[in-house]
Order: sequence, then structure tokens, then C-alpha cells
Amino acid sequence: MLGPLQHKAATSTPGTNPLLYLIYLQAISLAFTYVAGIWVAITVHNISFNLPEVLEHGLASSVFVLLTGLVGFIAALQGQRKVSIYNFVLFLITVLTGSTGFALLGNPTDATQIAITNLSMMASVAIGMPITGFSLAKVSSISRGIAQDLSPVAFMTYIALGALSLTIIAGAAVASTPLYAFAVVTHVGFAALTVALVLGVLVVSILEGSGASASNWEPQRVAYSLLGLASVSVAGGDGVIYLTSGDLSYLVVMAEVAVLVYAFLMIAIGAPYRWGTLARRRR
Amino acid sequence: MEEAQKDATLKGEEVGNLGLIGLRLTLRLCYANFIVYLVLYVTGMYINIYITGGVNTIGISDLSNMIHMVAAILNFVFTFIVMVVGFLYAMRKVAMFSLGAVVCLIVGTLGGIVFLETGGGRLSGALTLAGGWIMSILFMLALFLSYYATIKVMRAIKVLEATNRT
Repeated sequence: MLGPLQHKAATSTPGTNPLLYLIYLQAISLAFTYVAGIWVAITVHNISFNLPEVLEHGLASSVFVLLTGLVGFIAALQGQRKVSIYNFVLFLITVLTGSTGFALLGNPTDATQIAITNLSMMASVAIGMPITGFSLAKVSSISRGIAQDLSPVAFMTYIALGALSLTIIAGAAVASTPLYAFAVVTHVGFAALTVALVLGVLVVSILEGSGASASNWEPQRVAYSLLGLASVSVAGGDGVIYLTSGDLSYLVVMAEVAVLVYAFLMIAIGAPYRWGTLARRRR
Repeated sequence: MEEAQKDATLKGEEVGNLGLIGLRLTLRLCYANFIVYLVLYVTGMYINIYITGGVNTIGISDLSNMIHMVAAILNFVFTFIVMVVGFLYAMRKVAMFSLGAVVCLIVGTLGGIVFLETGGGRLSGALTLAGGWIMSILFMLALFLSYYATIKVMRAIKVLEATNRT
């Protein structure tokens, strides 16, 4: 790994760090993997590896695992130890959970295998969300040459991503009959926590603009956390409609809107412009 | 070593701008990749000789096949990382050799999918055998290309060490 000085030289030039773009690509591939996986789980009944839905999910997850390995290694080359270790762990988990998918393709009707695959893959997606969020926040702050102290907004966004992850895992467990009651209660509980935390991100982002800390204000963060709050509310609404109507299409929409929450939080945490930068550009 | 002598040593050498520590880390990744190549080869041969050697077929969820596919994933990721490092840190030969290996692995994987999809056994037909042959030949080619990329990384390390550069 590079020393601190080499690391600073390699990463301090704004807008030149390829790692940042790789993390964005990694997050996009994670979102695609999740959406395609939900689509397969809900709409495909006789799973086989030559179905287009399964191939799309496989392709998206392969890109995700590839980018996770790449981000981990490039971060190691740039001396970003934590980003590297977290992505390496995520890489191993994703490869192992991918192998449960192979087992499912061989035993598509085995209920235990279905539950193991669903839960492990959802756990992999869920662990990926806070890790990509952390990686993006860390690398973007270094690229913009700003202090790496953990701000209240960044801290709250990490927890919101974590709560969203646990909501997703509990949601996957709902499909398992023995876990149904516990999973529903946990899913609703974590969903409520996620809403509260995204609201918290919004409030703290707005408060950053008041008083002495006005120079830290990032208007994009306010806008994207507001969009995240709207998305998480819509996802919650879809969940309630699904419970009352039983229409599976609402379940698919709920999962896809949950991806938007992840996307908006990711953009908020790596908000590319600061208030001071915008003001200078206007001048 | 004199500065002019160091410059002469560096002339024509492709050392990139990764630095000695980064190059050593990349070399370790290359070594790890060779271990994965070995696992891939051993599991592939095991499947070839002990499972599909007679009239048996292999399924996607067989344990030996799963180990083989996980090894293939690791192999592809490691080779791809070396390729990207080559492109990002100005080591053209490392990048190009690894790019060749990556292309071979992609086409070889497609051959593997054809093998599984068309029956997964030696007596499953000409297309199955063709898939198997494509997989095997391109695996060997990828191994050679990765070997040359590793040689280039080793060369860059030796040049930087000889000139006391970091």
C-alpha cells in the first residue's frame, strides 16, 4: 500500500480519482442486481439458468462482484485501508452467496434451498448498501480535498442505509413460512426506523445551512434526502397496499422504489458540490 | 548508481506510475490468480475424468462444478483487476496481455455454459464437446497471457529496485 504522502498525492486532485466512478458503477450494479433478483423471486416459478430473467440477474451480480473486487484492490493501491477491507469482505460474501444461487438452479423446487438462497442473497445486497455508501462518502471527501471527519449527516446516512438493509433482509424472510410472523414485524419495524432516519438526514442537512456552519451547507444533499424521504414513503405505502390487496405487482414496485431510496441516499452522501463551490462558480 | 545510469536503465522499460509498493501488491494478486488457475484446472480435470469420463453428465449444482465455477469467478475478477491496474497506471503490456486473458475467459465461460446447457456429458453430442474444447483451449491461452502480464509486473519491480526508485 502507498504511504500517507503518496496516497494524498494520488487522491487529492478533485475530479481525477477513477475510484469514485467505479464506486458509482458498483452502486448502480448493486441496484440492478437487487431489482432483477426481486423480479426473478416474484415472477419466475420454474427457475432455470437459461431464462432471460435469471441471466439478467446473473449478469448484473457478476458485474457487481467484479466491481467490488476492483474497488477493493484500487483502494488498497491508494492506501485507503478501511474502504479496501470492507470491499474485500463484501467481495467474499457476494461470491459465497452467488454459489447458493448455483445450488438453487440445481434444486429449484427445494423449499429449504429457496429460503437459503433468498436470505443469503438479500443479506449480500443488504451488506453491500452501507459499504458502498461508506466507500463513496470516504473517497468523494478525499477527492474533493475536504476534511474526513464524520459529519452528523454522514453518520445518520450510514445508519439509514444500515436500517434499509435490515428492512430488506427481513422482507426476504417474509417468504419463509416458519419465519413469517417474526419477519413481518421486523420488516415493518425497520422500515419505520428507515423513514425516521431519512427524515433525520433531511432535517440535519437543512440545519447545516443555519448558523455558523453555513459554509458546509450542501443544497443537493437537502434535495436528494427529500427525494429519499418521498421514495421511502411510497415504498411503505406500496407495502401496505400489498398487505391489503395481495397484488404481487405492488411488492415488485415496493422493492424497486426501495432501490430509489438507496440511490438518493448514495447521491446525498457523495453530493458532488458544496455551497462554497457553487458560490464561486456563480461569481 | 549515477542518475544518468539510472535513466539509461529505465529507458525503454515499462514501469508505469504505480510505484514499488503498489507493484508488489499487484504481483501478489497475480500469484493468487495462479493458485486460482490451479484450482480451476484441478477441479476441471476432476470433472472431466471422474464425472463426465463415462456416460455421466454434470449438473450446475454438483459440488465439484460449484467449486469450479466459484474458482472461475475469482479467476476472472483477479485477471480483470490486473488489466484495469495496467490501464490506470500506464503499463500498456500488462493491460493488453490481461485484456487478452479476460477475452479468453469470457469466451471460455460461454463454452462452459454451452457444455452445461447442451447436456453436460461426453456423449451429449458434438455441440457439448465443442463447448468443452473451447473452454479448455481458451483457459490455457488465458493462463499463458496472465503469465506474460505477471512477467511484466515482475520486470517493472526489478527495474525500480535496481534504480532505487519507489
